[in-house]
Amino acid sequence: MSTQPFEASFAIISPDTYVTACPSCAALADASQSPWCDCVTKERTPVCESCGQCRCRRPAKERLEFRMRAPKSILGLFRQPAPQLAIAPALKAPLVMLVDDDEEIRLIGSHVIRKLGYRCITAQSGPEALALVAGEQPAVVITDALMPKMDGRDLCRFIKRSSDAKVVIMTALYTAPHYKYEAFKTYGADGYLAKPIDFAALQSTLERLTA
Amino acid sequence: MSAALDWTLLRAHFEKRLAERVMLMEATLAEVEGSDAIRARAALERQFHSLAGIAGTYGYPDITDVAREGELRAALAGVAELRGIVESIGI
Repeated sequence: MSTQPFEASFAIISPDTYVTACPSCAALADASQSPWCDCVTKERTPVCESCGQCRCRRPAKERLEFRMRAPKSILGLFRQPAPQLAIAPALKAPLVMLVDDDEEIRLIGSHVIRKLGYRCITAQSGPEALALVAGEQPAVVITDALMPKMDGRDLCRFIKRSSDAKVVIMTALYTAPHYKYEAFKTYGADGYLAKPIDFAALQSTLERLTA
Repeated sequence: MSAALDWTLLRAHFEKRLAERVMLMEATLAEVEGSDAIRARAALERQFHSLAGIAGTYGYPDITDVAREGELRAALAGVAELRGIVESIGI
């Protein structure tokens, strides 16, 4: 999403204007202008036009905070029928989760993954990623190997035990053949990527794992 | 790739963060001469490792090469040599 619509809507002094950041991709949008999800819940939430995610699978505390801060005129939309979403095709794109403790890798990685036509969510640690895997059920998880709190290789093992997601381990360490062997055999990874990230390799890996 | 990447924005972000990274490395380098040199060297090694992975991704392979050199030498090299490596990181 370009910054122009945000700046334009922000300039309009209106009680209905409610600029929020998407909790999944951090894109800025005016919630009063956003389409709303058609989830079967009492608390339908706006759909991010950038990543296609709504907030219905986010923690209850986060949804409550959104409702408490949003103008009542916006929340009235909950009683209206859900509109037909123009971004429906995007919702069908495979969801990719990128896990890295480094903000710059998350930024460029998620940007590239979206440009490749996938939906993308990010997590900055292993525990956060595990919580998101349970709720969002991504098709592919790309994780850095060396992270604080939980190593990416342990994260791979946990994900393999609890979900069907394909896991790609990404690190500068895995350039030597025996490291690649370790990633596949010991940790059960479905792929690996070397850093610096080769975008062509990223594309081919995602195409292979989501075919 | 279906659409061009916003390289201008991405590189501007990287360059801004690079300056912060170099400042952090210089601060860590100062600690290498202190009493907790082992911890400081380990921290410096991680900082080099992180930069090596990021710089090439953003289209700066030369910085990746310098950072890899720093990562390899962080544990044992002298402070002057490490300072030279940190100072050679730039765009």
